[in-house]
Amino acid sequence: MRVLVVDDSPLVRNMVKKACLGSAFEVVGEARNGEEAVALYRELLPDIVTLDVTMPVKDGLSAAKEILAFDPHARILLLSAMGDEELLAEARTLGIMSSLQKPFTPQALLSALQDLSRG
Amino acid sequence: MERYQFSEIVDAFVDAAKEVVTQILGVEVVEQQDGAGDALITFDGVVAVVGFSGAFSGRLLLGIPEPLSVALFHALGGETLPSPDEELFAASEFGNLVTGHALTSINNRFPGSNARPSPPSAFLGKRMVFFNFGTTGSRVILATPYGDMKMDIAFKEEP
Repeated sequence: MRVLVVDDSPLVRNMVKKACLGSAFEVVGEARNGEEAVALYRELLPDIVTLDVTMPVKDGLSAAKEILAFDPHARILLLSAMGDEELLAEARTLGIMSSLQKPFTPQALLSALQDLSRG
Repeated sequence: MERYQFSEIVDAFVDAAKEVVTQILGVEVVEQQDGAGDALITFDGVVAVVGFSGAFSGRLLLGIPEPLSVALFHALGGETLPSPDEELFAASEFGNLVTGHALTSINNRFPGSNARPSPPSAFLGKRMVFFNFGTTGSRVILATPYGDMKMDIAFKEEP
């Protein structure tokens, strides 16, 4: 499965890439903010997007709204340091059903990606 | 503070810092001292700065000793000795994690707060001076096996 990684932190992007190495998930693109995420999604049409929330230029939820307007079947895994009920409810309203709070282990990330890919 | 008790906000940040360091590095963090912050705050080394806003607004300043920033860099996937830029990336992400966990706890405890962090920043230098303007601040020292972290949390309730 082809994955687009979206996070303003290069460390987090590297963590996701490393976790996916040797797995069924291949990182095919990286975006540093929501604006790049939307552009790359249209270009790459990935199977899954891992999406940070707090980013400069455009935040994750705004980007998700645009991605889902373009592709209502987009599979998005929210990866954020934030995990409060109101944020998750807002994400669900947009159509994001999967989330994983940072910091995460490689195993937890792969498990979340696997659950999302089956959904 | 009408709705939010100052100490509860500070405690949320302290607990978040302890939780995140323990999760990432597997080491214990001990709160050593705290007190009212001064208007001027001085740091040496790496400092992460994360703002937040919502029903209350403010910012976290997190002074990180170099051994700790190196350990965080490695724990966040870095493989070699970090460059100064990479130390700053690690400090930024660490500040983001601590603030995110603290605000998650506060938002869940006080529904409707909708407190959200801004993207983090990090600075590296000697005798960096920060100024608290129009906010209440609190200073906490957290001891780790990699040295002491210094947290300064300042915020005000929005009308």
